[in-house]
Amino acid sequence: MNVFTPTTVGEALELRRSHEPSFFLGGGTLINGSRWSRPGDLVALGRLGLTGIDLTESSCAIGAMTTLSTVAGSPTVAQGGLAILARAAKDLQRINIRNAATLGGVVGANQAFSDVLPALIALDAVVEYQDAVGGAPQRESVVDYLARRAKERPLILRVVVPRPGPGTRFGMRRQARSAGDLPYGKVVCRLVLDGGRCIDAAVVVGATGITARRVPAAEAAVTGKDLAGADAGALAAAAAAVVAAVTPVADVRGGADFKKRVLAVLAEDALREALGEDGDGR
Amino acid sequence: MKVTFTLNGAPRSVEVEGDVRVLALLQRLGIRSVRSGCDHEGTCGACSILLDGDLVCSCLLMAPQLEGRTVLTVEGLAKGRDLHPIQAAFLDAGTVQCGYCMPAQILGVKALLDKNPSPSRAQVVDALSGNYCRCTGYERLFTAVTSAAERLQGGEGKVENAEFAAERRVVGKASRRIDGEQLVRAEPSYVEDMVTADALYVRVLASPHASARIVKIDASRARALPGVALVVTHENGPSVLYGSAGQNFPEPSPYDRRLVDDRVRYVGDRVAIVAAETAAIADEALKLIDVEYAVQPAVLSIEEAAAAGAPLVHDRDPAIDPLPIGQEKGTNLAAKADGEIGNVAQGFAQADLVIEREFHCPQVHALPQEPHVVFTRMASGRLVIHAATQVPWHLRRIVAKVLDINESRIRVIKERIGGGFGHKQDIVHEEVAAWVTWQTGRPAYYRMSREEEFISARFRHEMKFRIKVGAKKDGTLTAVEQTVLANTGAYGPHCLTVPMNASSKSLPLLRCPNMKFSTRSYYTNTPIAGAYQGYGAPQGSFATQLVLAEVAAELGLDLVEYMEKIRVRAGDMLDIMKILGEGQEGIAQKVSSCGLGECLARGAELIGWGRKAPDDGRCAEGLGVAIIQQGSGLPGIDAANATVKLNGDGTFQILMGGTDLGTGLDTVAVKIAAELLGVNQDDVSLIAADTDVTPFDVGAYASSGTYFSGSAVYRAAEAMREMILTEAAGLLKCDRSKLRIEHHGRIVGGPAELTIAKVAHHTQGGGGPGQLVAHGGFTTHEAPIPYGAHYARVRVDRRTGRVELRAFAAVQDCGTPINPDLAQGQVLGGALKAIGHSLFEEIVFDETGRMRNPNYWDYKVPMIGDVPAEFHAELVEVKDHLGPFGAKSTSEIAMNGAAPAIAAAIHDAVGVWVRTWPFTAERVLAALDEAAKD
Repeated sequence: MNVFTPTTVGEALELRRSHEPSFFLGGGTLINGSRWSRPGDLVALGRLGLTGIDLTESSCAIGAMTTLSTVAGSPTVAQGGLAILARAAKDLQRINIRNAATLGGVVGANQAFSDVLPALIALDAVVEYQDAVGGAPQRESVVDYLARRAKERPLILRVVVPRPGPGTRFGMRRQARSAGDLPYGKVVCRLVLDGGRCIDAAVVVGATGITARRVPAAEAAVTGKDLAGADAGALAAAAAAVVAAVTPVADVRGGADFKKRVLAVLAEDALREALGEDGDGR
Repeated sequence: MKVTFTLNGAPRSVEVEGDVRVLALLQRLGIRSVRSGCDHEGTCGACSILLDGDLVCSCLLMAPQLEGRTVLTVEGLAKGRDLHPIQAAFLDAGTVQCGYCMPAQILGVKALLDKNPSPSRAQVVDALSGNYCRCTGYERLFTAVTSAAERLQGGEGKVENAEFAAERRVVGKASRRIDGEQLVRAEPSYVEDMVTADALYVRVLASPHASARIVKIDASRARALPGVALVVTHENGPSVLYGSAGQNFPEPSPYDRRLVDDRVRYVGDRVAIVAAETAAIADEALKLIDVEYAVQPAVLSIEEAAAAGAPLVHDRDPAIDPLPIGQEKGTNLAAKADGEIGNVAQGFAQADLVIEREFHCPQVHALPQEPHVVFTRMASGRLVIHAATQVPWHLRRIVAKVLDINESRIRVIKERIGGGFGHKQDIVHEEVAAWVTWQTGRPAYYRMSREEEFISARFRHEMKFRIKVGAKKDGTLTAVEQTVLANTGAYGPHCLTVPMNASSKSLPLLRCPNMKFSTRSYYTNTPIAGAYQGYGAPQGSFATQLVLAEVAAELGLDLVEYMEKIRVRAGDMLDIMKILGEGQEGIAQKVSSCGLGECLARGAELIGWGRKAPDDGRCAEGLGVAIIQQGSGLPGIDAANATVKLNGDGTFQILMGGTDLGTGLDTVAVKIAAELLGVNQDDVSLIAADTDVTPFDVGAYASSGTYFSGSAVYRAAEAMREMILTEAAGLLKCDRSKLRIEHHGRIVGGPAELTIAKVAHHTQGGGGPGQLVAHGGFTTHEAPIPYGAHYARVRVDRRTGRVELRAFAAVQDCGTPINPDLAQGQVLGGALKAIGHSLFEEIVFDETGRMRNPNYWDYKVPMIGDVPAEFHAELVEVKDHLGPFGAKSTSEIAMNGAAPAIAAAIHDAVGVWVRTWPFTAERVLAALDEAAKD
């Protein structure tokens, strides 16, 4: 096995192209781990300079090699109204992993148990990537990027997160067996409220055994509803929609039916948080 | 390729292959502080380094990723002989136990304090969130951080510790453990630090089947592989049957296994052994061994094993029982025992309330950070075993049996142990490396992988209980009947004694005239159960204490008041102990002291008994309590010895057989001697647990360390004191009875003052009688019983079943704690292990007998984030006349309270009894569903 340490994006792309099989190496916490290691060469991205967090009026662009600890503790991320992303990064409750794992690596690896991906999806984040030497950077949504086959995922340069608009509120809940464990259920929601009325929603379910995803039926259950008043029952309907939409994997963390029940509670609690009933909705 | 980086302040430029991990590179560069506990999962943190100031796992970094970066390890902290303030704070706070993970924890604290000089508790939790420690319960880390922060800001960083034994100078006062500095500096300490470059690497081919006969095995391709030194199969291995239980001879455990057999009895059982020049070659050789199995029906549960006509786990060679333990040939029953005091039937007839309940305790694991590791070598025709063992002499005896040689040809050196917890009481793999060295003449190194550790090291027995209790309306117990079924797995180490301990550590807690127990232990085709801290007591305590909580609830009695009512008291005669011997008749025992009353009262204060947060309909709080006991060694069975030598300058050296497995026994021994001999702790050095150098000791198990090994040191020091005073009387020409030793090394009461140093000079000089050497041996027929009360406060979410442990209070009577901060650390560590076992730890098997979670991803252990926000451990001082300075055992008992206390708290919160551990959200939810049906 070879580990290459290119210093330019072009060099990295060429190394990846010319060595088969090979993988991009972000922080290495997954691919270097005994559980997920795969035979092949590694193209380490640590010297490409893909770090830094840039805040503009409309978005927050985070370098792909920015560690989750940096995201979690970044005043820029918080200033951009993205405390939910910082919280999600910190939900990975092992600092020595967070200090090495990178945001680009999290997206590229697309792990079903990821604490961060549901938040990125709820935030409508996009990835800026490059797939050919000398090519121009391109963008696509995180959802579309994750839909690609693993081998066809191009090199992520930055993760660009739109800044939340007025009235945007967030909620996030997870459940795990213990402090250091992977979650067996995670729900992140984003509500855009006009008074008590929800005018836009994203409800994302993660840690079910497959890639995190939005649940349109749950979003429909709350969109257009007066959640603070007459339509308070919409939360339960959204939770029911979450349960109907997912089939969690049964494993040592629990059975599928149990996980569904937990997800329903997490969904309702996350929505309540977004409404400011339990937590601060950020 | 060349990698250039900075290591501990010095520039390094090294050639590495691409696939070398930073962990391996650093170890190659002589950095010992980075250790592997999880085999590159990144789940244990023992390999942590500071990379550009951030804590990361070196096992998850490839060497080229170091290019241009800065690495700091613990080796770069101390300045010469001066410890770094964080290292010093860790020692003074009594944070260090086995020490294996401590360098990583120290680095985590450094990274935190470098950025945040006054961190909150939550920030400390986050800073150490990836660093697993099985010993300490983490709580004293908070003390260490506070102290370190003060020191780094120029303060003293003084740590306040409770003090005991006001009349003593050394005993009852906190002090640094004697091996602490070597551990926080990462000096060579553990077996892996002793391995020589020419050692062969040992690997084992594991069975893929739960039960099979090996029809054919062809290892010729493996033997032909360059670099392979030895392949052992049943065809060329020794045929002797032996047992792996590290118990005193004759053992109450069967001889039922071979080094390698032609029959495999669980998924993971040994099929072949390979020794090769490198680990990679050994792994490759395993793949070249061709095995043809005849798969046979397996029994995977107690019920299947006990069924009439069940397939036999040991169908060819019935086990040999050195002691009669009730094995029934032709069945899977490995051991049985029954006993009764009073008349249980009559007791139930007298009861106003009779409750009968069933409980289930699935297997849980010990999981020290250091797996089983052994290094063997030849020296002058003798076999030397560097072992992380709790039982050096039992190890020597068992290896001698397997190798068919005399014990005199074997030396066992117990190195520092990176966590033992009873788990290293068995001879799990040492005989394998020993065989390799004996056959090849080459050094051999066998370090079990984490997966092997999960599967083929020992874990806590699965047990099932049926308990019937009879009580009067006021709660007075009229009868208790326990039926215990245990799963010993494929082999039977401790198959009688662990399940019996479930009874012998739960029934004597109760004042009840009529008690009965019945124990049955079955072989199954699952991995091997064995010794683990608590040794059956946690299971027995869970079932027995929880059924009593049900009695209290049924009768409308306050649980604390009820425990106070039914508990044993000092002076009580424990007749039941007579029927609870280990493969032989037991000894009725009088309770020499009992601090249960104080423990119950203090624990109630700490937990805030009677006060609960309001129920919001979704979540509710609950409180629970359990009373607990253990023992202090095995009277009539255990034995310990120590020697004290007087050095020429009036200082002393102890040679002790006892084994410190990270608990601090070595420090306890030194303190006992220093107290008796009127010198300081630093005036006494110690060598322990080396079969060539130190006298015999059964080893560290059954809570024997402080009482047995400590008493041997006490007697040796007493004898030394007598020798010194006799010599002094001769020199002073006065009556010996007038003389006494006072601090510091002064002999007073005679016509002139003399020092121990002068006596030493005289006795070692040409005109003297020779160096003073005193021996102390300790055996006994009585032992003090440690007691305790553990309390839990939980919050249960009715909708998800999630149990949040909000507070835990462990209050224990260990007589006089010899070293209070280490004793408190033991209690915290034991309690948190038990909390993990109660809330989320569980070994899970599939329908073929394969373990589903032999890794830290899927089997969860408590991390610092699992420590309850309030985590109390207090010791109550109780006068006792048996142990050294009144000491009892401390640590093992701490495993016994969490499960029943938490289960009772869950009931108090949401009204359901969860009778299977761990109390996962799924189980709690199922219990709530069941209750809702009623």
